[in-house]
Amino acid sequence: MEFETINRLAKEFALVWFFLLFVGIVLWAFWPGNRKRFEQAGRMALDDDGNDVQASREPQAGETPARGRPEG
Amino acid sequence: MSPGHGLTEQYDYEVIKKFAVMGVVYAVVGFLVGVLIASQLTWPDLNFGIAQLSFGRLRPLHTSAVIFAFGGSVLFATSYYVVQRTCKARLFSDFLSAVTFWGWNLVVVLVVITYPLGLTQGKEYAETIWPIDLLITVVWVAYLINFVGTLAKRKEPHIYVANWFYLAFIITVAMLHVVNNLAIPVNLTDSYPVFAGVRDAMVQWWYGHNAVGFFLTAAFLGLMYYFVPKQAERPVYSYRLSIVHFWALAFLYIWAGPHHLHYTALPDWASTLGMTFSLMLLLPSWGGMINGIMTLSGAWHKLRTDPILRFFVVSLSFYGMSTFEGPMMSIKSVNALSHYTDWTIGHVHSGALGWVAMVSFGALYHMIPRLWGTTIHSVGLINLHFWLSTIGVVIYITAMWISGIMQGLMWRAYDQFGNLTYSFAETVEAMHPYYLIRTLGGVVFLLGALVMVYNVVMTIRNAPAPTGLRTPQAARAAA
Repeated sequence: MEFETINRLAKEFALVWFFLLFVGIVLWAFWPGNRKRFEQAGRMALDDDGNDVQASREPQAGETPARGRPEG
Repeated sequence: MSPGHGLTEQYDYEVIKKFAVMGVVYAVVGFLVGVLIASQLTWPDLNFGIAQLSFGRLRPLHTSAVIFAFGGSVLFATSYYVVQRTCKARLFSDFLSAVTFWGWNLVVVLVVITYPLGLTQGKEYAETIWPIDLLITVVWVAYLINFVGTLAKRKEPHIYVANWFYLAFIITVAMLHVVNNLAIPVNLTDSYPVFAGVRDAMVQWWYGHNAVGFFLTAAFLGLMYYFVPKQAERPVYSYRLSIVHFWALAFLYIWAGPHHLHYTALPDWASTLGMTFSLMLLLPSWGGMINGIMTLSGAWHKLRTDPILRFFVVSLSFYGMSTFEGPMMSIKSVNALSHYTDWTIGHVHSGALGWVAMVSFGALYHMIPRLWGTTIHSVGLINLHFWLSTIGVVIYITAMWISGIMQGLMWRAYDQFGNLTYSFAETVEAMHPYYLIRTLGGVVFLLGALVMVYNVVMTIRNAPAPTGLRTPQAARAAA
């Protein structure tokens, strides 16, 4: 096959393929059945503290940090 | 058992701590070199007649220090933090984490040595000579394996959108770096690129613009999608929008490079293609900006008390502004005025200082106290840093807009006989006051970074002994 033919077919194929792929992604994102799943996913950053005691643990009321900065 | 026990086994925070500290260090180094070269443009005597300190050699040192050393360290730190926490899994390999940390810092050290010596392959943002290019490739493959390996062992069924952005950044940068640096070495420091002429230029700007698109945009959007909801304590405004704009960004950005080569030997169709895709990029860019800012809906009152959130909102505003300005500047007729002028420098810095650096500061202030299990030393100093940064950026970009547009207009001015109205030296003289103002903006921005250094040092120094919590006894005692 000539280079020009392959070149043309590749361009046309890529155009159709990328267009359909993107349409598919948009449909997937907005499909009503996926709504709940994506709403949950939108909270993932907020729900990651449960197993991270050291990192996010604020000193509790009436508790002095082991070697925190001086008060005041 | 104390809830703290086993935590250090679950997440690897050590590599993140190291990258976070280096990010702060490189921020100061990069900004300092920036202030120096801005001063050299204002007062050329600051070259001191030393070749190693001349503008031409220090300018790539500045760009590499801020993009790859500062930006890179922040991205390594935050991506390792985000991928572990949203996958609820420890990093794939301690060895690969160490390879990325020591390897990346070795790259930075080699850059600091080679650039002032004039060892460069002359490609913007890819000046590193071929042995360093190979080292970068090794580090980057280690990063990819470590990141994908962590995703593969995740305990959450869904891969959070921030990780999609980070993964797109890692894969695309690998591809861009390898293709742009294809070269035939002739000795230890010299090589010839395999592409020649306009093809070489096109490959270079395909790389260059996607370094902006994926290193400075996609990756920092990943950062934004974790830290903004976290700091605002609000879910992502529209998770579905994040999916659509992620894919739109990935599909479009890769074509935008030719707008760097308008009115050159590049074929017209390629130039027009780059312009068209750059214009379309406005949509996914603003999709991210709107999604980030609207994540604050219901939490706007927090802006009154939380300077970290202010960093995020202002960074997103700068992101929105510079991703509007960028497509406008890619239009050929606008580019005819703006290209090769200071307007471009202003545009880059509204993105790099306003968006990338400010969103990074916000993430560092959020992450560092959590990494060391403490609270920030001073919220007031974060606020001071916020205002110094904001004022510094505004001074900088305003000076460059005025200087750039003036420069472009002076270059194209003709008199009634068709002769150029101004000589080049006259345009340089006209720009001098704006160079002075720009330097001032840079100094103010640098001062803010020094405030951050003090705040971070005090925070880490006052943190509870980190090793103490690792033993179950100490964890119990602390709990």
